[in-house]
Amino acid sequence: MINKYIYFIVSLLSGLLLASCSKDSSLQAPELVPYSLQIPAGFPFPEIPTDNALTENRVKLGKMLFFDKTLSLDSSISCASCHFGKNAFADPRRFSLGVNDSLSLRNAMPLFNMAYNRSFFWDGGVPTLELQVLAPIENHLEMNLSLLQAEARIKQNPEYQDLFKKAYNREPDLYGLVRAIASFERTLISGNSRYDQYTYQNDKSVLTESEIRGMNVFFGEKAECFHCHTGFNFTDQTFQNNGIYAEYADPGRARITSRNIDIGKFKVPSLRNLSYTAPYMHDGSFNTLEEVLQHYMSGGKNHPNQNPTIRPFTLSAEEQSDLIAFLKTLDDAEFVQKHQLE
Amino acid sequence: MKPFLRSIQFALVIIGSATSLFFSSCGKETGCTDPKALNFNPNAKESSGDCQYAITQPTSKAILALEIQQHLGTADFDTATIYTLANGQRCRMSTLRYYLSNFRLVKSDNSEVLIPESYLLVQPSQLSYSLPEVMPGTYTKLKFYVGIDSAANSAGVMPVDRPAGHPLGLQNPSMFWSWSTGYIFMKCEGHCDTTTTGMMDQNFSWHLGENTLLREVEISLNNLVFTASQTTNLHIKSDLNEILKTIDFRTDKFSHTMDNRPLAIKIADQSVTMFSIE
Repeated sequence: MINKYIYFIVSLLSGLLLASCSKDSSLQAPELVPYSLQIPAGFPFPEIPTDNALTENRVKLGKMLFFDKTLSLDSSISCASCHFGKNAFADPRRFSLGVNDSLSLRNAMPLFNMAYNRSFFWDGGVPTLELQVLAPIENHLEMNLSLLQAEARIKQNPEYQDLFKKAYNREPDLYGLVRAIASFERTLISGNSRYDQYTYQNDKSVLTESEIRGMNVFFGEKAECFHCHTGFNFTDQTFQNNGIYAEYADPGRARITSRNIDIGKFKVPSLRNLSYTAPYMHDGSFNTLEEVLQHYMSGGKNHPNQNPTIRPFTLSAEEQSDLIAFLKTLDDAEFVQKHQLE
Repeated sequence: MKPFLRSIQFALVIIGSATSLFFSSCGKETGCTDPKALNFNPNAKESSGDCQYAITQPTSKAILALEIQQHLGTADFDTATIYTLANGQRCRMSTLRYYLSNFRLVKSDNSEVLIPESYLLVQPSQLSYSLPEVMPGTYTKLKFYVGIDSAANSAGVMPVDRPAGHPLGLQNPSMFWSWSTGYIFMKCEGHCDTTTTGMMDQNFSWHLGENTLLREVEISLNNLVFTASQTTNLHIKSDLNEILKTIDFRTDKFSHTMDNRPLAIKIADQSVTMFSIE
């Protein structure tokens, strides 16, 4: 009897011992099941903010918010209204339609491999995925909803009470909203194109001879594509003026820095999933990859800030079609199929 | 009796080791982390929230009751007033709000006492502003920034992470640029008439931000005494005319800082002269 009593105390203490060690008690909750991010071969593991570890419930909530039309002024559009899964989350329209049929200023960027990005938007004005969430909600040409109104709306939605609790152990608010949407976006990883299978999964049978010739053009010194479109995600994440205009209506990076040397500079985009993400460039001014290639072969319009590697060069008709065939090996059909209904 | 004693012994060993594990296992010992507390634990890395303090005198600090009265020339600021500039142009303000931060009291030896976490969002409709209590003493000057210091103006803590109602939290109308990450130090908007039509039919809008536009204000306090546990009133007058008097609305209608930096710099430079003690 007494023995039992003593063992009870011991087990009570052990229980205390186990409970005392969590840094963040909310992370011990059973609903915080870690989300296991599938990293494709050849890709590094992305950095994830310590205060926003990926969990199943955070990703689930983020996805729900991504599709939530009440985050626009007249509840007519959500993030997904301009970022279509079947287009690798780009918008096939040159400019997206915001509330009241207003046109966005730039072509909507595709959403994949954002977990690796150091800056966001065409001008790189925002340094984190969490902060990136705010601008489209607030932008008058996009969702046009004040952030405090957005917060009031998610608070009113009874469905969110439970989901925010499970995801962030708090009431629905913007703290959780930006983190949840960022969490969902971090899971959008695309790395199973035929190029990936060839290069990282060592399946040498997946590329045709034409595509392999195109790869050599891409990584060759004549076309020089790879200087900026480099690394596993085919971007060095810098801002470059690629000379599509002699004068830019959109100042680009200079909108953030107000430096003359940044006029007409835009983020070097990834070249993955190009078949799904037309039109191309910050203003969607090219409809086809052929047009893009013609532009680069022409050497550009010679803007003072134009990157010096952009200068006229000639490719034979075969080299041109090989290069475009190679670019299409960067399409990740599995990725768009998985998200085609989104 | 003997087996019972043995099991007590056994249990004590277990309790003892469990307890030591309890304190060491986390790598982070919890306890009172405030050196001023009676039960301060120098080994504690994480606060246990149970600090005990000696019963002290009511507050040993002085209370600063700050009022900021917004003027537009000789009159009080008002969004209904049609204001005529020296150059004859007329304007009517619709929005004015700006941040003041990092308040510092300066002693006669020029040493500065920072009032921690002093961030104020000033708007003409509000007269009284609360600041944390200050060290008693005699002060010759008050210094503060127009704008937000670069540490708080970085992406380290997002406005959405601030508690509701915090000056650095989200505001309506917004005082944060979500497309370029930074606080809007000053937002001033309204309508103007640069012709003689009498119609206030043109908009103007100035949004100032960015670390390079942070400006420091210094005003004399004439050896103002702050006494422990007592309230000292400080009444600051801010006159928007100090900015308006340099404005030509024909050219100075718009600046979101990055798109018209010269105008933003002119306004930021002028903002320093707005403040005086009444």
